[in-house]
Amino acid sequence: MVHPQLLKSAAIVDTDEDDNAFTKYRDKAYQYDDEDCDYNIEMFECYNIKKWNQRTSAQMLLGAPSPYQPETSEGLPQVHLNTAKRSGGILEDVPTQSTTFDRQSETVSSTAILVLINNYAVSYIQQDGTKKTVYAKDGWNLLDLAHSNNIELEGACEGSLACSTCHIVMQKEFYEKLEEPSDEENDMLDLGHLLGCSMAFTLTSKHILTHYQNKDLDSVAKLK
Amino acid sequence: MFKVAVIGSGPAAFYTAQHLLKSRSNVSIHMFEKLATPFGLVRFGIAADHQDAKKVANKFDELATHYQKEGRFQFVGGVEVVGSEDADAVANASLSQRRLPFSLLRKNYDVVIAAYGAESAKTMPLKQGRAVSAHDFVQWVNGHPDSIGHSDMFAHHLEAETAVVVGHGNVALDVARVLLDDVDSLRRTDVPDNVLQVLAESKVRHVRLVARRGPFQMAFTAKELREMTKLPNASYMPNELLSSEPYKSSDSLPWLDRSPKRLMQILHGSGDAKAIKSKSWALDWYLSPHQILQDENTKSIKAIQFQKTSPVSSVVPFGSKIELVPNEFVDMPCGLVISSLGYTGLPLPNCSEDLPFDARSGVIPNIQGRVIDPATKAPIEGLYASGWIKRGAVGVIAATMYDAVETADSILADLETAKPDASKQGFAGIQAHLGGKAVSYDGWKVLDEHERKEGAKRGKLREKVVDLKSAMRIIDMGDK
Repeated sequence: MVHPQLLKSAAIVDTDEDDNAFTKYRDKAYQYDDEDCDYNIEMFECYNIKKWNQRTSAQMLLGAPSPYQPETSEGLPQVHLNTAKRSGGILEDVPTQSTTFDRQSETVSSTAILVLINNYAVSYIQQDGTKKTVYAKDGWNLLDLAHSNNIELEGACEGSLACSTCHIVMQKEFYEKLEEPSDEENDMLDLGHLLGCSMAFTLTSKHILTHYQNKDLDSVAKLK
Repeated sequence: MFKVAVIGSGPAAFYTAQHLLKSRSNVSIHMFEKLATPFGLVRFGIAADHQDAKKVANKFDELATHYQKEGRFQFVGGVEVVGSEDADAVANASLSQRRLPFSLLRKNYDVVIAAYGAESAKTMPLKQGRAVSAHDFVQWVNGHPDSIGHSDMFAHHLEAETAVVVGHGNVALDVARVLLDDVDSLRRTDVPDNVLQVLAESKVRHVRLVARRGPFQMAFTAKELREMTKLPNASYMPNELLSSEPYKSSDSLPWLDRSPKRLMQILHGSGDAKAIKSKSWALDWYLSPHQILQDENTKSIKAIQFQKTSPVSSVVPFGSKIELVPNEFVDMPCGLVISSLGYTGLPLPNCSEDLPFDARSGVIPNIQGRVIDPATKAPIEGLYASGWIKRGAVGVIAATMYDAVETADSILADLETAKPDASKQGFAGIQAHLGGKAVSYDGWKVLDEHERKEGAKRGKLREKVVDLKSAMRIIDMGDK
């Protein structure tokens, strides 16, 4: 069954307006500091969180390897909002209360929705609108990564690719950099027609992080 | 503390409860279940060969255990919520069937949520003969208490070589898989032993899945259809309709949605005439069931007669409201007919005055989960619906999860401006009426452990206790 709210909110990001905004702010960010790609990526990411928080749930971005050193804690190292300092405090504009979300995003709030900064650090925009950045290891999938860091993300079938409850939303530009999902995963994305806009992503047995690393690290550099 | 009563204990009930419990610390939930066991269709509906999908019960178990410890969750099993007059029979009710008047729930709880699902199978209108219901078949394979004693009946049904399943939804595929797959693939699951015995003796070799409408109206999900095309023991026999337009070039049809496109892709990429396996299955479209034809002497089924239909030619055969023209009759030889036309909700018995119900659509009328008075359209305070009884029997567990969150959000918004009503006594107000002990969550855990132990002895996940009385005895002995 179509979940109109989710379809609608996910589709919003796929508009020309946002694509233009994406390009514009990416280019602008790169102007600031040509040598520090990571900085630029952060800028761009923060902009998008801020903007999309007002209209849709969130999105997921891939960027260059992060220069930040992880703080080790309980198996997986964690990083908390280091990015805020580096990007001139833009992150402070990110709403921390779900009340700033519109009705649409409240409806999808049972799914945690994320922003992936790079192939090791992953930022999750949580249900209350706050961001949590954690570091991943090769082979971890985003569901396990979320759970091992106490980030709420429904996963009814415990990652066996059987239930499609662990949807996330990612930025289209980066979604397209991923390899085609397997037939099995693609089939799951049909459930509830959540992938009408190719924005939602099921995170079960698919190792997105590994997957991305294998794919083309250079593609990130090419963004410049 | 806001006192919340949930009627039902399936995914809709648990997801609604989860969202409420996690969002507010001043909410306590009592979950009323007609059967002795929680989890609804996770236990009795999800196909036995889809054990992965049943893992969601672990999540619900964690939730129940956690919040029971906190004193904010209680499972009240073996208690059927009914209308007042029915409940008067409470003194006569058997141990396993306690009844509770709905009005008493309303009186004692701030919030009452109907999340009891859609438990009735839609019947197939036939001029003559009666089809087996896929609902009954699935319940039997899943060891539902209502299927007790059905094994002999199904043993008889499964003497047929060809089975026709009417309906193109996932339940039809669940049925077809059980009929076609090697029974050995189910031996380590939770299918009851006596069901496995019957399935092992099954003579069914060929299954035809038939629908009144066309290929673009198939309600399968891609995952289930793909799984079907990959059955190790059963070949898919392609229907030549798919080689004709517009079905042949479904990939390039701009007006076709992604979902039917993918289903067509799967079918176009399947079916290998060279690799004939011991069993087979096929899909047929545009056939409207008319009557079942029996052998005059043996009274056994020999065929099902369909009326051929075709889509109105001026219209593309797309969308659920497709218009069909009736044509000639055609007989399809078979020994078993199973109808799988979906489910519909039922009203709570004799509760029509207190809990509105729309008989036409089989749901409780509501706006975003707030139950409304059908006449005035005004929300009825403190009354909500969630899951299939709220929106109809469509969608997988993920859809129910979103749906439950919507209802929970409505409740949370309403509670913002409300204060707990001191006159609502919660469980204390209904306990006397129950006339005995209901099944607690700990009681269920006793049965759960028993089933797992019995299963382990047999090399299975669990051996379900199908008989409700036996289940109650085990629970009573273990849960002092």
